[in-house]
Amino acid sequence: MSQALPLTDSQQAMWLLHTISGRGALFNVAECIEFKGKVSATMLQQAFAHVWQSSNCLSCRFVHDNAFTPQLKPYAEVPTLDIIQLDAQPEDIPAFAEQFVTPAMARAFVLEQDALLKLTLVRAPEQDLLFLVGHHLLLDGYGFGLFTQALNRCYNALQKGKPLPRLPFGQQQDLLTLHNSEAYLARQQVARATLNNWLDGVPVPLSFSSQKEDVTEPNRRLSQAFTHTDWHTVMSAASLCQAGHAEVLLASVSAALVAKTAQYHITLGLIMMNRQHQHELSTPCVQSNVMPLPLELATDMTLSQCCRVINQGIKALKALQTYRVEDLKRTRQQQGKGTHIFGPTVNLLPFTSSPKYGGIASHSHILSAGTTDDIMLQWHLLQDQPARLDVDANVARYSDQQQQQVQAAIFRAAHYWSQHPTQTLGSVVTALNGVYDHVL
Amino acid sequence: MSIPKLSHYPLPRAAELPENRVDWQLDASRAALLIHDVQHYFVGYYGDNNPLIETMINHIQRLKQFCYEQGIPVFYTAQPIKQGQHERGLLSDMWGPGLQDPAQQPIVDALAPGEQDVVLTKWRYSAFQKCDFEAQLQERGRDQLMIVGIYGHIGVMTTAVDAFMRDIQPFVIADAIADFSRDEHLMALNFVAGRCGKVATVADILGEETQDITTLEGLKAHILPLIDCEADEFDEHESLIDYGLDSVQVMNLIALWQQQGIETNFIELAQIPTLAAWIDLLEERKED
Repeated sequence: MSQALPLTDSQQAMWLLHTISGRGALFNVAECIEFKGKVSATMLQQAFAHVWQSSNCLSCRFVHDNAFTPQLKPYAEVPTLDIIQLDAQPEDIPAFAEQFVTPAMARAFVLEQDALLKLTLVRAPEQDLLFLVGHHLLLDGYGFGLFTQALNRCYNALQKGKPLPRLPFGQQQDLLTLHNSEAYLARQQVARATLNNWLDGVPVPLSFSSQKEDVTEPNRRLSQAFTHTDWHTVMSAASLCQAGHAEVLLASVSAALVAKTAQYHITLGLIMMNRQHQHELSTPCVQSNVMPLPLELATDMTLSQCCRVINQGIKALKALQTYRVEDLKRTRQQQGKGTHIFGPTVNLLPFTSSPKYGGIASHSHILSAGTTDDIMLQWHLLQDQPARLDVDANVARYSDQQQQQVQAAIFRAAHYWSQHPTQTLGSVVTALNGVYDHVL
Repeated sequence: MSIPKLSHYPLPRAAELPENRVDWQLDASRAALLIHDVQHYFVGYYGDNNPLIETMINHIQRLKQFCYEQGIPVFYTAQPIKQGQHERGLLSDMWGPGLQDPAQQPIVDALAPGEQDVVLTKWRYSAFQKCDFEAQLQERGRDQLMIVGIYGHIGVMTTAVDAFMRDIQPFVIADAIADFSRDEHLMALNFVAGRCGKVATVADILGEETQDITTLEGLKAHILPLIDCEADEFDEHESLIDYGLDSVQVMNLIALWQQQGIETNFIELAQIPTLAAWIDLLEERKED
């Protein structure tokens, strides 16, 4: 029997959140791979088994002792791929996927007993769908990407009659060694001091809702993509501002928040990959972190200036992202300071790809990247399509209408500011006048 | 009924252009330049300080200068004001009464015609219709026509089709035209390249080299400004993530490579985050 290993900081944080919340299902994440045809269930199972066994960060259980010290225990058994047959072809795949995954998302994993990833192949007459429901403790967005890419590679090897490839995955011990290295720990200490310093200097962050309510049920999702024309204008504006389109999107979110709160010094919660070392980049695990991104904006800033502030803020955060948000909140609590350290959370997701499985095209739908107690704005940055925004909201804090207003404000800000990049933030705020009052 | 309010979009890059069916070579002794409908009226629909129009005008200025230097005649089209129903014909049904204000009729100042240039009166989508344009080209011994201006999928494309049917080789300059939208712009280029002409860029015409971001040097030149690094301090075997390249910048690169038909994804690049390894991967994909 392989030896149990300690958890990384990220795993420890997720384990603790799961354990103390008493509502483990909140930490479920899900993705659906839509195949544009039929795949081989046998090859999929074989590929899955190979990927699963290639890193002990996957093939494990999260056990704990009597003192509630969690450990990662390697566990070789491979979960079985469940297969469900459908008699009829679903008309609307995204709607079907969301509905299909709901019961699985509501079931909490038992950390010490369950494999934390469950695969279900839904076989419709004309196409197959692969549902992956996992616990955030096992995989984050990048981890899912790493996992599915390896699955695709193994499937294609089998399909061509080639041997299964050796996957260059990192192991738990690699991460532990890295995270206990002197250089890594020293960087964390600097990050701790810098972040605390920053937070001392920013006003209490506001969000799109001033209510404070715990999560009582799954987040409500509202999705919208840019039209091609609007997206091209966003890209053109980004190029004009010598910025990336992600910065224009963050500027639009910022403008929508300023219009709502009348506060120009805002703090977004930015979900960061938090993978810099080779071992982190090659290990399918949880590693992402949420960092406070304080932005000192001003009414007379143009889009270009706002993008520059955002760019500099993100650059500064990169060096600090190893310090976990939970530790930051704990430190602030110990110092008697507020633990509310950012407003709305923003997640930029560039991880989707559309690989072929033995000649069958696929498309990935991210169904849930986690649960928020406030509002989470997930930008799906797709390679050749306009970006899509998922607004996930805590239904106890946001009514349907409030959520729609947030979505409308962000798209209106993006549209207006991209069209007129030399206009100021103040004028964008004016252009958003009334958006939070109207019944949409 | 009228033309919609128009926005800006990125002009297509060389790598995005459709494949040409013909291999015509521009010859200064045979060529003419047509600056199509760049009047205040039509440009006005893009609003003030529109970056698309500013770039297009800049590109046309460079082409026009090149033509002057090479002795290539420059033609303009401009629609007249207050056309009667008989003159305007079916255009009224499609677009309403059209240009009414005399102040909106001239070519924009930045492209004002010179003394030696010819301004043709434009009556229909094609510059050849109800006009002696073909005869004027023949008179000057010209059977190649570079077309620039607005709008790509209407007058520019139609003039290209008409030129083709008159045995005049049309060259549509992809980054010196503007359109209602990027999709319509690309549609026009696809049609021309596949059915009636050659699509080229300003750089192609001027003989300038463009950066190839699938080569080590080209990619290095593209990435160094993104990571604020000097060439002599950069090591292509070091991790780009250590240099500060972020996921969104990587996504932008993926999109640019995709335009050249090379498929990669973020996760596979992130696992081998050095410039040297990326070049190896790109070489492999090119062979695929």
